[in-house]
Amino acid sequence: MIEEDLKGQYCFPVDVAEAYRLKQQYGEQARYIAGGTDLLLLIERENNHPHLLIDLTRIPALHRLEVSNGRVLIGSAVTYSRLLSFEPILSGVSFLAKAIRTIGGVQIRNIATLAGNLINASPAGDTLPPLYCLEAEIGIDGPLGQRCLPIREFVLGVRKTALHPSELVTQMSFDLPGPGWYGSFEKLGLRRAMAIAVASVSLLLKVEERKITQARIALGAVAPTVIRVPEAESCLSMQSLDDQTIEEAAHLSTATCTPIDDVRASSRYRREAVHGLVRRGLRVLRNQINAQE
Amino acid sequence: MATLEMTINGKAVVLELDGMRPLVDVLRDDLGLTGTKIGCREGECGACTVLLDGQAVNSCLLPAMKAHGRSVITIEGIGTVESPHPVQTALAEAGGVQCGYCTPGFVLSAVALLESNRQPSVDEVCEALEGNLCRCTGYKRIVQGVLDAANQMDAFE
Repeated sequence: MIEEDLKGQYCFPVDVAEAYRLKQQYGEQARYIAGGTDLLLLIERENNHPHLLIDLTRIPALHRLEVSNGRVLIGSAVTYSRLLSFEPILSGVSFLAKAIRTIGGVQIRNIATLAGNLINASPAGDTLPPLYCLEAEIGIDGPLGQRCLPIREFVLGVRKTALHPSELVTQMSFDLPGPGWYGSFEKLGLRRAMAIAVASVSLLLKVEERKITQARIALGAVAPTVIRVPEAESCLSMQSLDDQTIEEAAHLSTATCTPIDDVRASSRYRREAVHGLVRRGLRVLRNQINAQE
Repeated sequence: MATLEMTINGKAVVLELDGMRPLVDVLRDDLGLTGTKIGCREGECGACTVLLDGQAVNSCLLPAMKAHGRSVITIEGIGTVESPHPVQTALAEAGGVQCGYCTPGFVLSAVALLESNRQPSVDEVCEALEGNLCRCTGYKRIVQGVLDAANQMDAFE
């Protein structure tokens, strides 16, 4: 076989084991592809064409989308559009659905996957702050067997994950928040559609007898990974959402972040944005909580 | 190299190609279907929109191999000058076309919407078109054209 024939191969493995065996066999000459909406651009930009693309989207097991014992299971080949037509996502984690709607346009959402957003590990990935609040677990499979990591241990840095070279993500899972939980997602982009986040904030609160008993705050695009802000979370503990508490939580959230200057915004502007987004999110949740009572 | 078998505008084709090539290049360069336009080539503008099994997708971001065993509809499969699709007629009549470069993409996004939702609201039309950019018209007449097409298609049935 001449060298040229080796390039530009494309295959559809029928199961996960066939996929990682091919990846092992070809090593760095092969790449996994799900939606591919980022990958094709990346390949062009790096000008480093792999010999083989291993398409994961025709593996039936990776299309799983269900709620089992109160836990949502999302296969890694499930597209955003499919998530937006899945009732438990729309009603049970509407803040994740809101984050998904800010991604691309319909054409992107018809192809791109939640797993792709995760594996890209961009701190500006729109779905990551909600997944951090939901404390999602990432199911991984590969030659050494299956394993599962909490999202905070899965994402290691800008575009870095804990995946070994032949491993792939098979699913993401999280507990469906029940009654008493309130979630939100707020994003500041340069326009509403098709824009990368300048900063984003997701909040998830558990409220019992008018007091916050659990608080989770995740910030996007202001540090090398999405971050949780424990100081701000603990200042909400056993509080109700009055103006002073909201201001304090917003202030403590900005204290933790280390945003960069780039073409979209300066570091200082991003800090201000986080303050405003946390405040806006907490006010939205206060209204939701009051409406429930 | 990879072998691609797909149905394009109802016709079966078989091609040998580099599996990294985006669908838009295969459509335009190999199949001569130049109605599908290239604007940004990075999934921002929607000029390259085609239907893959009825769903609107950006053909610049899609390896052509993803169409293997599937059906692709391009603007050439939607209507002709002699027999335009109701969306095409409505866009022309509403003044939703100026230079026309973005129009094939808008038509395909609108057709995909109307296939699944015969009576969309203004917001639903805007959401369906948010992945398509037009630098001439200001969108208002495009949205109106799609709403008009929905009414006409509804009346026709």
